[in-house]
Amino acid sequence: MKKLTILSSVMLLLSLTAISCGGEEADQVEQETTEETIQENTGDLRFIANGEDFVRSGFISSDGWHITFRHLYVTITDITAYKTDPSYDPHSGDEIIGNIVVELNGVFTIDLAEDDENTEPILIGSLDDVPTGHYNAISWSMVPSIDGPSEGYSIYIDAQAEKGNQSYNVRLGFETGYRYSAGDYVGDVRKGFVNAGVPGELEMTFHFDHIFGDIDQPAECDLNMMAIGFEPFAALMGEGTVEEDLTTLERKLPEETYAKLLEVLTTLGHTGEGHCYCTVIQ
Amino acid sequence: MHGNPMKILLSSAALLMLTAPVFGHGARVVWEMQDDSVHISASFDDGQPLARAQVTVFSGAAPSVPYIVGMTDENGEFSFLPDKEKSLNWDVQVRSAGHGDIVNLSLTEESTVKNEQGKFTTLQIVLMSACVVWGFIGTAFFFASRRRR
Repeated sequence: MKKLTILSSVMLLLSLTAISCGGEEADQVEQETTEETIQENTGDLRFIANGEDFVRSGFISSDGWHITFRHLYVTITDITAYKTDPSYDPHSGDEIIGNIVVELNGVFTIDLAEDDENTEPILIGSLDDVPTGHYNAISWSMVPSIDGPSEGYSIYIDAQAEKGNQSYNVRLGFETGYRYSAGDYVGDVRKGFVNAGVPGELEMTFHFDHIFGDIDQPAECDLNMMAIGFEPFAALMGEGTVEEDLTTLERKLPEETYAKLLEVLTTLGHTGEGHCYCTVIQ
Repeated sequence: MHGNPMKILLSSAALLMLTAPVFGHGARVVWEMQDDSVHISASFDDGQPLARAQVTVFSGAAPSVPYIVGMTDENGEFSFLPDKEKSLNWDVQVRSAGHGDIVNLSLTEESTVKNEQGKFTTLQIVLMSACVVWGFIGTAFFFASRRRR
């Protein structure tokens, strides 16, 4: 009887051990398989910048100024793509935490106004052999350029503004830095899918109609309510030229308008139509 | 600016605002299950509904191919019946005139969770079966030995 009890206990112990070890074994096999899959399956990931047709073709501001851009420079760095699960919600205001994170090194000054409406968005750079899958979040920083035509500014606008018989050269520089964090691309097609042999693409999109407004949208729509239009800049005109930066604008613009401008600048970054969480880099 | 306390206060307030997320004309999509359907509600950040906005639903099985294309109603709402056998992960994108948002829905069915938890390896199943059988044999031996006494 005693032998029988001991035998039963040993059997039970063995079973319990097997059950607990069996699960770990299965998990381990699954993990190894996943890692092998990632190593075997890599592809390229392209990063593009897009100022949209507003910038390439010009547009009419909410207060009736026809603005055409000769150049619109932005200086971008810390471009990072993420595969996140769960997906990143920019409304949360959290940092993006990725299972896989890849970064395009370098500082890039780009002219969003180059060419015309038929031009493809600008390729900033590409990463080779990144793990395949869906990159569903992106972050980047805009920092003051250290050289070139936009030196000292993260955003530099060189444009022509016309209304009736008034025509002005506009040169606006914004020296503040911004960090934008976005989730999945929102647009006509989905982006961020990297497959072996088929590159994926992520887009940093800039909505400059947020500053000037858009006459094609209703005056009471939230875009135009948020925008400051061009009149506040026109009021600063001297000798047919506006040449200002945030330092001078802080002194010259009405207080409320300047505060509104600071707020609007944080909303420029998007991925397609998807909004970003933005922090100001001091 | 210099020496004007009101202006300093306004500028400071503006800078403080900048450290928080700013979505001046952002869109937001929330969802919930209503029986077997997914109910979507889309609105601007100020709470106004995203009425008659384009809705595109993507299945996790083919996430770059639209599975359903539709439109929100006047209240910014939209419902669809997901095929849970196809996938438990769905993405829903809602767009209207430059405003947009996309949400990922991870549907977890109780039955599916149970199925996941109920997965055992062949070795585990064999040993558990052996254990049960041995239990019956042991019980039989126990009563048999008592009867002999």
